[in-house]
Amino acid sequence: MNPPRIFSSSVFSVFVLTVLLPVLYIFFVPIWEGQLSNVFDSRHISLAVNSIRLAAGTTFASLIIGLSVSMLLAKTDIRGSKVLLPLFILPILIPPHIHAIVWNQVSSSVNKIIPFDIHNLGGAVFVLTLAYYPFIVLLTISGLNSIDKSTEESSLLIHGKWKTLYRITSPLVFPHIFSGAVFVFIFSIIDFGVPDILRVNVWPIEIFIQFSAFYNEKAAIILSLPMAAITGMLVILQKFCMKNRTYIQVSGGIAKNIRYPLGKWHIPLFLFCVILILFSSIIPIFILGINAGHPSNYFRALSSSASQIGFTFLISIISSFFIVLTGFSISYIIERSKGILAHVMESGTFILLAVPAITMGISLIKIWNRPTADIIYSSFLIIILGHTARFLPFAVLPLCSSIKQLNPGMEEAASIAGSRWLKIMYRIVLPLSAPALLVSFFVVFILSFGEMGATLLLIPPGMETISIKIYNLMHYGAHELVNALSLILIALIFGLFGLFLYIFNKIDKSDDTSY
Amino acid sequence: MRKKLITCTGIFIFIIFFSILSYADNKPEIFSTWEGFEPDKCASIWLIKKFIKQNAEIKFFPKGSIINKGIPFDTPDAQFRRYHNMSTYESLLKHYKIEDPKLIYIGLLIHDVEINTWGRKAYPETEKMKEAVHMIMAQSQDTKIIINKSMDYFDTLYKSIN
Repeated sequence: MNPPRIFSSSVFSVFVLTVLLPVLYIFFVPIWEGQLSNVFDSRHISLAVNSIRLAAGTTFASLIIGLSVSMLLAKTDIRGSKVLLPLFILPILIPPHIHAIVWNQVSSSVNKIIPFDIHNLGGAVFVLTLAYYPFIVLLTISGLNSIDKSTEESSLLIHGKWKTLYRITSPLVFPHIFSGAVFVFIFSIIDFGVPDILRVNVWPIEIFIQFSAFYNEKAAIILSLPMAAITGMLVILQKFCMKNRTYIQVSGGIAKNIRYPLGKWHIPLFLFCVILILFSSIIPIFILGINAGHPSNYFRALSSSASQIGFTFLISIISSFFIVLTGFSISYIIERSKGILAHVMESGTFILLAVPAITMGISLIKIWNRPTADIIYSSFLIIILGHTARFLPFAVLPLCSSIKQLNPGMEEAASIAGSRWLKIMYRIVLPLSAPALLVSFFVVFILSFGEMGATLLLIPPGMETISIKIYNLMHYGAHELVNALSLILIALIFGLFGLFLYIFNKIDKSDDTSY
Repeated sequence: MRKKLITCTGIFIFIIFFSILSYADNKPEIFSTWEGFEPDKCASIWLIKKFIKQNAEIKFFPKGSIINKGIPFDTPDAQFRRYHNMSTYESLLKHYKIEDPKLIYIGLLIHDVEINTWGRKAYPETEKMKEAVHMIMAQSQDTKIIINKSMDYFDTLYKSIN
């Protein structure tokens, strides 16, 4: 059922302002102004190599860890898989720059006893892997759960388990694994916070230097182009590979897959899982707790940062509402109207994944920093726009999958029965999309809550988020407050995750919800 | 008689008003910061004491403590602090609308130390200035000595700029 023209036009206008303008600015203004060749020099080759090595290394390590974990949880009889799965998701809830803060401190403490220096490319790969391998776990398990059990059973009747895994299971789950690998590669190559804390010189750092240190905005934007081109192509390839498959299963957890017995390997592999959980979430939290020092530091951190915590909550809630509303409208147009508008919106939204946070920040400054738009640029609205331009794809992905699963016949039947489009949306589409809306809201909220790259550039004077406060405290060497505040941030995110799971289980009783 | 009384009262009010004004002007203004020195902080103290409030008193608080006295600077919560694209020194220049080209040039050197932290410096003088300030900090632990020596250093630097 085609959405009304007024709805499509309004959504497209919002899409132009929030997505298309910054993206077009990044891709076309440098070409338009013809200054491409003056920016690049031989030094950039080593920066590019560093960035690619960082992203490739993180992707490779995440694939090894993520695939091992997914296979163990979904395809073997390992004990406690239902408890282990949420524990493997926890690292994704800790912002990567907090992982970096923790391991930076560990490195300086143990460096005298054992040679453990985190301030190099290997160190950055280590930290980013611990932060991002859950992407591979989540997507691979979703892929494994979506496989028709009977296909594997038929193969097992003729071939052994290894041949079945290699010839049947692997090809079927490949799009999900590839998709996870693309996500990890993109997030690693565009990451600014971790290399900045670990003092590793990579491409996004050079973009930041050009903007902040040399005030050369054009150079910063032009330097973003090669990276945006590579990541943009990967996003397109990933979309092509995934076709209409769903990305993540939320409530199903680990479905009743065919499981292979581990036998004598049970204990060592269980220990492998425990060690991995320890390194990726328990040890970081423990170290933050130890280094935060006296309990009074938590009160000091809370009392000196109460306004920042409140502001971050407010900004994240407003951003999430706006992004989910926009994302839902865009997803509906993508799925229900197959015209050129839908294609433009789909491509534009997913290209956002390819743009580094710093570049997006610069682009938004260039677009909105003018007297006529001062009401946006000098207020919190610019941060909302920044979050939208960064996190819209994370709302559109689950919402598109959800709307795709709704039978358009229901809407058509209601329309024939005389219901208006708005009533159909309110009474049919929105209630049926409620779980996906909740997932999108939560994902966007968590991402907004810990966002640093774009906010650092966009935040108006007199305003501050928790992440920016942690970044400032770190610069001024207030380590105990940094640890205390990071732990408070993690506690808030974990608490919200618990609340989300509780609400989600209340509203969604189905066994297999996939987005 | 009535005229004399009015004139005397006027003079009295004027004297009182003038005294209050002059006291307020001479009262040392407190600028507060955390303990510990770096080029940005040394340059900011010099800027405050020489060009913003000549009788300013600099108070130091333990690192991480909440400052509730005076005008805070070079701390995470202060208005005058390091931003992603601005040093504390530059934020003071901007707020007090100081447009002396020599001070702006020193601001560029501080920017090069503080914001351009990734090695490739924009000005050849940056490293010299950074080394000189670090040398002052290494020679003494005493706050007063560090402030006095860095005041002398920045005075010399200011005079040496053409």
